[in-house]
Amino acid sequence: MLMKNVTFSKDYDKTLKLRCLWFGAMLAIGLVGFACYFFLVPQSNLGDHAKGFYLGAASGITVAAVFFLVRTQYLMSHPEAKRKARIEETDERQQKIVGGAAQFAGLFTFYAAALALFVLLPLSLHAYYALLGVLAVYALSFVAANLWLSKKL
Amino acid sequence: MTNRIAELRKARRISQAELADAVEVTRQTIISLENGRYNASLLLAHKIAQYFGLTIEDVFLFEEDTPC
Repeated sequence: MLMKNVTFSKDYDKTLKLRCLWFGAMLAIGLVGFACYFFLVPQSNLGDHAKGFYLGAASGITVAAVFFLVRTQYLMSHPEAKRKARIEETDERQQKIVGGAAQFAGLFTFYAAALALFVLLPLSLHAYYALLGVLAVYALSFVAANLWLSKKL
Repeated sequence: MTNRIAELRKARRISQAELADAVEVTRQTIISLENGRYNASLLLAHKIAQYFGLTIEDVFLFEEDTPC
């Protein structure tokens, strides 16, 4: 039973299929961005910056989605490449490194944002509220994740 | 916690890459385990011990079991 759980191949296949769906959704977002750029933006009175944003964001999202879709399809049809990718992605040391780095980055960002609140308040009330909102979302998502993981583990 | 992975691996003339491939981790993980920079999870410890045909206690030595 233990060794059966150790073998991730079946789960990884599911993971790859799920990724295809996500990248497909990402591709749809990019295509919607292009459609907006070609059909809606010309009739609007948006500035050059906003028009550039539509084209840039749509191009970036579409290219990234196509790249990851092709890569995922390649992994699904090449067992040896899939095995190597699975080992790299499920390597426990690597996961610990990523988890530790994410924890550090989250904590650092939180402290930096808290510090920035003091600087922002006299400069811009809108920016202050925006940053305060980000910190509130961070704190709430931390509490929610903590509760969920406490029940799960 | 220390381990005998390097010793066992060398005795069996197995490369780090071969061991890593067999227990499905990266070679860097084997290197870190052998250097004592990283402690394996129970699952990985089980896989490594099983690969060598030994028990976890034979491969991984907890501090109080480590010979002085």
